[in-house]
Amino acid sequence: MIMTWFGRTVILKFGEFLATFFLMISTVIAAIKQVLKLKVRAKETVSQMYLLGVQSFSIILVAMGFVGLMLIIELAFHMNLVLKHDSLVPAFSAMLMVRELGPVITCLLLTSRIGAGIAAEIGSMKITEQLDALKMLSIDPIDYLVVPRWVASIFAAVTLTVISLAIAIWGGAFLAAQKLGTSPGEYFNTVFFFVKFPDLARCIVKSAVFGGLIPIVAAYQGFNCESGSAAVGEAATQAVVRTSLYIIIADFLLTYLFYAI
Amino acid sequence: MININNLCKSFDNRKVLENISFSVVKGECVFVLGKSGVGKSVLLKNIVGLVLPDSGTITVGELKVDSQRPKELSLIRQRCGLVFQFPALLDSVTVFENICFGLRARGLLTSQVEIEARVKEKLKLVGLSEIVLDQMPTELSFGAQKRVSIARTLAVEPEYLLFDEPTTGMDPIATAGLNQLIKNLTVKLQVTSIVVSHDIKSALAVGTRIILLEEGGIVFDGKPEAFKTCSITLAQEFQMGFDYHA
Amino acid sequence: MPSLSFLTTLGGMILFAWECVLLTLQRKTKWHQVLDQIFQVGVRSLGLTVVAGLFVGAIMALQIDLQLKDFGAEAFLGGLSTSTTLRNIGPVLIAFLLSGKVGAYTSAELGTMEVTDQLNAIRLLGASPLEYIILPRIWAVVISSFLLLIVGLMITIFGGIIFAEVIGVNALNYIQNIPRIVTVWSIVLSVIKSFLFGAIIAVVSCYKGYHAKGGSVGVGIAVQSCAVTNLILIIITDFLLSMASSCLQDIFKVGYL
Repeated sequence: MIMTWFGRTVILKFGEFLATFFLMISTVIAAIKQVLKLKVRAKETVSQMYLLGVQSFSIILVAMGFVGLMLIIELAFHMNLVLKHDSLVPAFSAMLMVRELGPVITCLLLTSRIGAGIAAEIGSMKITEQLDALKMLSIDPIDYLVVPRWVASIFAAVTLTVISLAIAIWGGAFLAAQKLGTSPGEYFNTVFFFVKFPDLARCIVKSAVFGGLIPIVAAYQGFNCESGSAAVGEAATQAVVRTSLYIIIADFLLTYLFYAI
Repeated sequence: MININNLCKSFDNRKVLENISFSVVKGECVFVLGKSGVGKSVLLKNIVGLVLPDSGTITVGELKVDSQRPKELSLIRQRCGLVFQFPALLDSVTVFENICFGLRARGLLTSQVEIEARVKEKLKLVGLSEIVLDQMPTELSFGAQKRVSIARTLAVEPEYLLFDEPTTGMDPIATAGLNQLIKNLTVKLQVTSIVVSHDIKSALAVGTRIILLEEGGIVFDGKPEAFKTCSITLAQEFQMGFDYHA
Repeated sequence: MPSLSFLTTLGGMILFAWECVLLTLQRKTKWHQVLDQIFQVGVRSLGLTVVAGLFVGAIMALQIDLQLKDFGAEAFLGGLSTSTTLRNIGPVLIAFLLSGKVGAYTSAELGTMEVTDQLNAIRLLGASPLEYIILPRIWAVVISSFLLLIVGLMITIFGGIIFAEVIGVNALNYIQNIPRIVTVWSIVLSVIKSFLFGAIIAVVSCYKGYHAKGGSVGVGIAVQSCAVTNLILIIITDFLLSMASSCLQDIFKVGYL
């Protein structure tokens, strides 16, 4: 009984994952076609960049600033416990930030900021039959709706990650000077000694992957929205949950791929 | 009686109701007609204090609608039953629980036998069979949901009945049944009702009085017979639409 | 003025929470409904919590292992990764996921009730929606998020152990190292954080759902703003609690705080 339930749930989730993956491939193909046929939807893409990126800017910067400060405090605690001194705190926190928390937390914030919105938007287009109207005008919804959001979201994720990393590390410098007595010069010296360029490149790849996931999963939930007023909320919720989980799993896989193999 | 005096209401600089004044006496069945978006629903929500007016006063019986006096507001809400345009049934509980919700919440009836009898009586009144009682609201069709919603309002036996587009989305047979129900309530039980609608056919058949709203103001207020012969363009358009469909 | 409107919302949420506390003190809570809701929320979200816990534990073990190798201190892997996960990253990341699963779900449910006039219908039938709908949900979300966070944190430890075995660290060494660095206070701190995060998710999602307006689009907006507000408040609270713990450590000169 419980095994059949478990089995069915796993199969259902896996089917959904495959369908989302298929949507991703269609999006990539549609994007390539747009470039090849020189029919890039520049206007929509730019306006999506504004909606998705610029409007999320302040929230993400504030949040990541706090994450940077928090890491310094926590790592100071741990370093004092283990190594009995705290000279390595800046390096350790910057590495954790660049390799892991920067892309993950920025993209989780971006997910809740834009994922729910995209799912709700496409979902309400679905239930008000706007998607059917688009198809009647022989406009492909993936080409028209998903591709601009996908490009804009990747762009937003990468830029926001890099900027928020800068803010977090600077915030860390401030707190390190206050709390540990590390001068900013010392702080940045250790940071740049341990954090290398490949780390930053991998961080950008990670955030591009996460940023690309957000609109795809959200659009999938929107396209499969059922009718009724409860359904749009449901689609938005599912979009946030699924994307967050996929981001955490993708992060594990990418870290393993980049560093452990 | 319900007394509305110089009621004004606007949303974000868009004037919806402007200087509306009329009063409804006991036993009347007033139909408020008007095109979509002239603020008919807002008018009803003002009467029970779900929306508060920008200026003007509303009294229900001797009580004034005022958010500062929550006790009087809850008394007014006990006397008025509002049937929403969309059924607004609680989706988390069964149809039975929905209908007896008000009875339990106000403690009008306490014994289970009495409650069941009341629920079944009202269900019969709106023309639904008892099979639906154990179903969830989402399992019913839109028309049936709407009738459950009417039964829920009738269950607490309010003095004033306010209907927000009761027949929209119902089939012609159910519409005729509902019109008969409103008429019976008015004639036999002397219930006062205000019906917001754009269904001119029902208005002429059931209403004892018709009020026509246009762009926030009242343009016609009188008997259905007078409405048929009046010279106002909107009133004629309403009837022409009716004739056309007929 | 986005900052001003954020403060207005924050004030509104504090008043809302206070009203709910007052109603609870007047014994208006229907505890059987709360239990019912806890069961529903718990069953719905347990799978997600377990998967998230496993991956968060594994990610942290992997990352800390990499960094410790750079400094040549692999011996501390078990303790350090478990402690970092329990004190910070674990509660924050799992609360992020729960704010979607539990919080956004609740705000969508309440928002739908509000825009379809169900809450108005309750008002008209002479009951208070705050008492009948909100109060059971708010307590159910507080309690179930708290329990789910605790379960998730236990699973992260497990995830770390499994992953350590995968990358060739002896699981026994890993486990033996845990109690050397994870102190009782660390566990107390993570329990406090879990409870506060649960409370934040509950208050924010009920508040946002209760104040939704404007049709199905309004529900979408409520869900989105609920998710964002949850995340921001969780991050800020996490920082403040870490700061408070660190200040207590400085004041009382205790190394193990």
